[in-house]
Parts: sequence; C-alpha cells; structure tokens
Amino acid sequence: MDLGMSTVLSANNLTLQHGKTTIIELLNLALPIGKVTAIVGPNGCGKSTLLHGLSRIHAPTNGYVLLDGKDIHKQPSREVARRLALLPQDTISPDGMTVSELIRFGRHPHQGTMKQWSMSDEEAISYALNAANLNELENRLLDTLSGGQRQRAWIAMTIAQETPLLLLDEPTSALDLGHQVEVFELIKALSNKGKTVAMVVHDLPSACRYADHIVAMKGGKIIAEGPPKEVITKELVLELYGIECDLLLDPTTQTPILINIRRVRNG
Amino acid sequence: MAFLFHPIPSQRPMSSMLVPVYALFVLCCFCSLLFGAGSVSPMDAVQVLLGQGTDEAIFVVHELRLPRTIIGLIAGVCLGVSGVLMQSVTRNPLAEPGLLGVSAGSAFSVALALALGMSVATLPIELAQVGALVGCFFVIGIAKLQGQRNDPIRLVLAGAALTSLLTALTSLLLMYNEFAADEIRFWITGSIAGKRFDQLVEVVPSLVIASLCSLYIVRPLASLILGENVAIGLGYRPQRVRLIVVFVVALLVGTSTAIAGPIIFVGLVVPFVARALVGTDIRRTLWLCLPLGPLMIISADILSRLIAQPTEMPLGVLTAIIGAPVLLLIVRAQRLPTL
Repeated sequence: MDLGMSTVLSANNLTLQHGKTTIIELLNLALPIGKVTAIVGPNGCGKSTLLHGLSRIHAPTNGYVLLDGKDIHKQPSREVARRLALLPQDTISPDGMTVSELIRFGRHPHQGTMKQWSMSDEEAISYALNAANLNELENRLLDTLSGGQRQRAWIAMTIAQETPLLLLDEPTSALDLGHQVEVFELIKALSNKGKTVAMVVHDLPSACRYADHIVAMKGGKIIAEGPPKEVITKELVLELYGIECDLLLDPTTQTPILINIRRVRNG
Repeated sequence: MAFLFHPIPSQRPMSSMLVPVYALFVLCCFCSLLFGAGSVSPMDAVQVLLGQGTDEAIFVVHELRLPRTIIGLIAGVCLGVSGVLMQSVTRNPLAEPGLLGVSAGSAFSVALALALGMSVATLPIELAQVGALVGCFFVIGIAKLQGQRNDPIRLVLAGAALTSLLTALTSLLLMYNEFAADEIRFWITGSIAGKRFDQLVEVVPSLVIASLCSLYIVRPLASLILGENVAIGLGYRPQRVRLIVVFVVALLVGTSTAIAGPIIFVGLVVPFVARALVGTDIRRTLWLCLPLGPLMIISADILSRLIAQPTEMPLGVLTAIIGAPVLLLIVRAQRLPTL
C-alpha cells in the first residue's frame, strides 16, 4: 500500500499555551520519516500538549506546525486527516458499536457527505482488520473486548485512515503488561511497513524497546533527542525523573533497561 | 427472522424498524383525517377522501383536519429532529428544546409580540426563531460560565431556570394585557387547530435549510460520539458542528413554536424511543425521529379531539401527560443511556 511516505511533520519555534500559562516555548522538532518516535518525560513536562499541537488539536500562540512544509492550521482539516491520523487519550467507545463499525469511521476523511461507500473503502477496512489481527473480532461489540483488543480496534480505525503519519497519545496507559506488548508490537509493525509514528509514552524501558527515536522533554523543552542507545544515560534519567539508576543493555534487543532504581539521597 | 429483533438495538437492520414505524405514521395521518370532535363521522370522511361526500364533510376534512394534520406533521418533524440533534451534540439524554428553555425563549418572544398588538394570524415565524436562538445561546452561556462544558446536570439546571424565568415573564404579560390574553393562552399550551395553508407555506424555506444543514452535520455528529479529539483527528471541526446544531435547532423549534405553540416533551420522548429501537448512532436514529415526531404529536392531537368532545384539549397538556412518564422512566433507569 502506498502511503506517500515522504510526508513530513515538524514543529518550528512552536509555542503552546493553556490560557495564559505557557506550556511549550520555541520548540523545534522534525519527526524522522518511517520511524517510531517516543516522546518521554515527567508528568506535566508538556509531552501531551506537544502531541496536541502536532495534531492540530491545540493551536499555537507562536510558531508553526508544518505538514509537508505548510502550516497545518492553514490546510483544510479533512485534507490533513488524509495524511495524519490521531489516536487521542480520551476516546469513548460507544455502547452497541462493533469493531468494524468503529473502523469504518477511519474512512470519513476519504468520503464526502454524499459520496457512497466505495471499493477502496472496503479494501482499507479489510486491510486494517488484518493488520490489527482483528478478523475474528470484526462483529464483536467494543464493550465485550479486552482492553488490549479494544485499543487495537482504535488503532485499526487509524490504519483505515490510510495516512503516512500516526500520532498516539499514551496508547498503552491503561493496559496491563501483556496488553501493552500487544499494542506496542502492532505499532512497531505499522512502522515497519513505512508509517511514521510519534507517541507519548510513560514507560521509559518500553519507549527504548519499541522506538527508533527518543524525544526527552522537561519543563516544555526538548532536553535530549536521538536513538535510545545514545540518548538514554544515567544523567538524563536523573534530570528527567529525579531518580538514580544503573543502565544495562537488554541482551536480546540491545536496548537500554533501567535497574537498581532509587531515590536521590539528600535530594 | 430472529435477526430482525436482535437483542442489541444497534445491530438490528434499519428496515426492520423503519417499515413498521413509517406504516404506523401513515396510518396515523389517515386517522387524523377521519376522526374529529365535530359531527363528521369517519365514514363521511372516507367518502370525502374518495372524492364524494357532503359539502360540510368536504369543508371539515379539507379546511380543518388536513391543515391540522400537516401542522402536526411539521411540528413533529421539527421537535423530533431538534431533540435528537441536541441530545447528540450535548451527549445528554435529557437535552430537549422544551427542558432547556429553547421553546420557552421562542414562546416568550411570540407572547411579547402578541402583547404588543400583533395577532397570531400575521405572526412572522422569524420572530419565534430568533427567540429560540436567544434561548439556545442563553442556556449554553449559563452552562459554560463555570467552564464545565460537558456537565449534563448543569445544562439541565440552567435550562430549568431559564424555562421558569421565561414562563413567569410570559404569565406577567398575560396579566397586564387582557386583550391578548385569550389568544396567547390557547396558543401557549400548544394548539394545532385553526391554522391555514398560506401560513404553512412560510415555513418551507426554514425546513429546507434545516434539512440541508442536518444532512451536512449528521456524519460529524456521529463521529463526535467517539470523543471530541477523535472527531478532530478525522478532519471535523466540533466547534463549527455545534454552532450549526444551535442554528438548526433554533430554526426548527422556532418554526414549530410559531405554528403550533410551545410543545414540550416531544423532543425528549422521540429520540428516547428511537434509541430503544435502533441504538444510539444518530445516522440511524435521525431517520426514525422523522416519522416518530409527527406520530406522537398527531396521535396526541387525535386523542385531544376525542377525549374532551365536543371541545378540544390543548395539545401541550396531552404531550406532557404522555411525556412525563417517559421522563420518569429515564430517571428511574439503572443507568442513564450514554450518548
């Protein structure tokens, strides 16, 4: 499937405010194409706000978010939705809705008020069901699914949107370990097929394990950026979370893992 | 056959519910032409429909019962549709033009005009629509003051406050203007008697505009059910959708109030029944609310003609008698249906 892989999303001198409080100031970022980017940082560092800014939910007070070189807020929202899919944190799974009914919403940006359901819509739905491994759950009601299955159904909706870019806000926050792995592996598989992904992640080891690129934020600024192995250091962990730890490389994946985590003494 | 009555409403095929409801609706329209408080019996009326009958019967059917049926039809469509739109956009099963002060706003503006010397016969419907619009913005404004946008209780409380304030003001107008009082009093309880065809032509532009807008926003509204940010991600603009809904609701409620007076509870009961039949998706409920609204109003109107013979009961009284138990049912439910 051709997704127009060259689509790029970047932030230039981005400033985002909640009312009068500045959350993010003069931030610059470009998402690496075809890679998984994980935005990490302590609570309140502005990572969710940044994702809202990148996905045009939150309009900047200064600077731009550029999608393919053009201000995202100056492009028709529907056209943006054909290149950029979003899975926010505050999704609502309505009573009585099935998996395939949910996934069909992903086709909305490709349809008009009058335009009928087409073959390409049908293909996109079956592709999404396959990719998210939901074929057997197609007609199940959302409220009968496990947390991980439901989150996969939501991701399948964004897959049906057929966008080269996917932004996810804490996609695993309410899930247990098994379901987290289920969701992360799906995200990784999408990236392997060429999708550019950016996600806010709370768990640092998972971010290291599944992301190609880490963006570490504190106080509304990016304080480190790069591949996990290069970026994650004891000093960075201390600066981000105020904890001391030792780092090891996972023997199989060669990604950093944190051990011997402890509070800073005399802190 | 079993799948037609799937235990989960959202999974029933649309046709299994649409066909009986529309059939009932057509039947109800015929009954409205056949039954009445006067001396023209159903058999006489059937003769008129077949192109025969006495002059008296022809007059009663063509000049009295037919316009009355059409008014019930228009008011029913307006209230049913505005109810389902309001409930969907506020995600609140209690949001209803009658409860949220929209009908009261519209009624107050009409009462004011009547007290200032206008007559019901020459009343411009725009007046009622502007009143409804002001009511809409007022109640949204009050509910938003605390920055609690999606608080259903606050919205209903604000609506209740606005409704009682405007109802009190309308009563004051009645007290100080005896001349207009009778005219207002009958209109205020909702009566669809005594309207003429030429008055009805005026409402056509409003209905056309409202229909086009509704078609345009039904998909965005359906996606808003998944969450505000999901809708933005799908390329919709929730703020704009909400504005269009307010505009459409004002148009529809104003129209209905102008031709039939303030009728409460229809906007509450109709979507409630529609959801029980086909689930919460507005792309399904909207098509059921179209016949269900007139069905409720016209059957209430037929009853009002028969119960109080030879006089007539105001329509608002009957819809309230039908509507109140449904509201109680919703309140007594184990959990409020989530939208």
